[in-house]
Amino acid sequence: MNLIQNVIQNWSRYELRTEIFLYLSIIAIVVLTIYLFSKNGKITLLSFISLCILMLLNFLAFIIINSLLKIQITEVFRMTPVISMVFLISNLALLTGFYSSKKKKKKIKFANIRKRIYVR
Amino acid sequence: MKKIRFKFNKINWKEIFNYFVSVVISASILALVLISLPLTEKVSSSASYDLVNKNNMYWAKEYTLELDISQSSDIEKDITQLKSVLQKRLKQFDVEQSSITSYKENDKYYLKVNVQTSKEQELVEQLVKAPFIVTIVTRKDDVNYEDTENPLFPTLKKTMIKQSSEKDFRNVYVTKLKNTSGEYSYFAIFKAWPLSSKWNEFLNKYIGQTVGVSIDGFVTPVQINEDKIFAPSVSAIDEQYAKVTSILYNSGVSPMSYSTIKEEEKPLNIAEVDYIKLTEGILIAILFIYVYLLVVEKTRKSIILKSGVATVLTVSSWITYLKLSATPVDIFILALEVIVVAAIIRMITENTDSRVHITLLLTFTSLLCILLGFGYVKIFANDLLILIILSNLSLLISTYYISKVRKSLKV
Repeated sequence: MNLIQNVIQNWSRYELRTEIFLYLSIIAIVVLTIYLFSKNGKITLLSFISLCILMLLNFLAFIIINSLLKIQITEVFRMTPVISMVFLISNLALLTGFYSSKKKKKKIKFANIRKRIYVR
Repeated sequence: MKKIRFKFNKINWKEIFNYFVSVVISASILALVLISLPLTEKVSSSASYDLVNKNNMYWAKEYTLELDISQSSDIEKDITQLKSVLQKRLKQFDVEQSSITSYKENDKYYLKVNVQTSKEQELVEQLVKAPFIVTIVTRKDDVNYEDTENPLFPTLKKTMIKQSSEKDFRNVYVTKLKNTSGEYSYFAIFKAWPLSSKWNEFLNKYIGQTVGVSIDGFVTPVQINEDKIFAPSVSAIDEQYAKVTSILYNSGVSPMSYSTIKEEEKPLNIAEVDYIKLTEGILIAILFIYVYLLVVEKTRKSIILKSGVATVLTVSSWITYLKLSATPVDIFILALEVIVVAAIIRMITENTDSRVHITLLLTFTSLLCILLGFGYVKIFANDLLILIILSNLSLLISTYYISKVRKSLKV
């Protein structure tokens, strides 16, 4: 928990607020845009959950790197959540695009989407 | 004698034009690749366009600030606020790395400000070292400001009466205006809150008189004219200095004064990357990915070709731009950008249904990171936004180019 203590003690309130606001606004905008494109609650929920899990995994990774591997978390590490988000958002956009183009077909199933996108 | 007659078939101008465009695009791709490859500027002595590595521009320092807590009622709260003000200044000036820690020693409070940046040292120091406590002051009736024995009286805050502080203003806009000698120089225009009647009353009261702006105890006289524009002069010699002054005015109010008691050079903590080896590595990696895709035969050859050409075009045109414009680059960020853009191009080439979705969502993400991000995140997002546009453009060009070449070669 040394990492959390360091952040609380050394980060200014401005830094902390801006960082939290940045990730929250990215999640909000992405989820809203995905909903507007797909008009599907399941895909929107999936996007939201995956973004939240990504943030959690990033956080856990930082703790593991810092406490187990004894690597100091520097400013460069701030790019990790952004880069991982870029890849996740691209994948979510792939899913949304595919769903949007095929949603007029009556028998579209999530299993088919999964097969089309992930099992190529 | 028999007359020789030449017989022309109807010329197909469209084909000639397509052929010409294909040749121009081929030549452009070749030129971009050659310019973007490392050390190619050594081939010609007439041009110098090597990639400017930011690593040589970095410097790192630690500043120890002693805080003046004599006016502070809640020390912890004021220290937290001061840390935010300083961090805001550094982030607004795009300082790459900075950290601020507070500590107490012998009943005195200190801040340690660590900075590592490629920005101009003098400007960054101005942001760290100046408390920049701004107050509007007026002259006292019982002080003789024309006294030749005390020529500094008009410039000292202690000889003035405090009227209002920086909190009373919405923002301060630093811009170039004509001065009394008719030349352009920088002024700070104070903008009050729309419903602030107190400020308007103050301006009306002192119309035609000289008041002052005190910054850290030193007063700059300001004449209030009929227009009621309150604009003290700014001692900025160029745009960068004006930007620093604007940040100092608009990054929040310092709750306490402080003085710099120690400054120490620190060893640099940056990723040393040999960009020649890195370029080779990236080129080989991209080549291997495409060879692998070709071998496993899970993607159509036309798509592999299209995304390959688009990737080469995007990456080479981006590096060419960086080289020709001599833009300082963090090599490790450039490497990340190339990897990300290669992946994005691959996605948008194969999944045409999702091209708009990917482009739009990544554009939103980049814009948010530019607006709210700091340091490396902001630099990365800035470049990513340009690369998203560039990759879409490259994809259009490569689609057009491949179809025209195929037509010309009758493949």
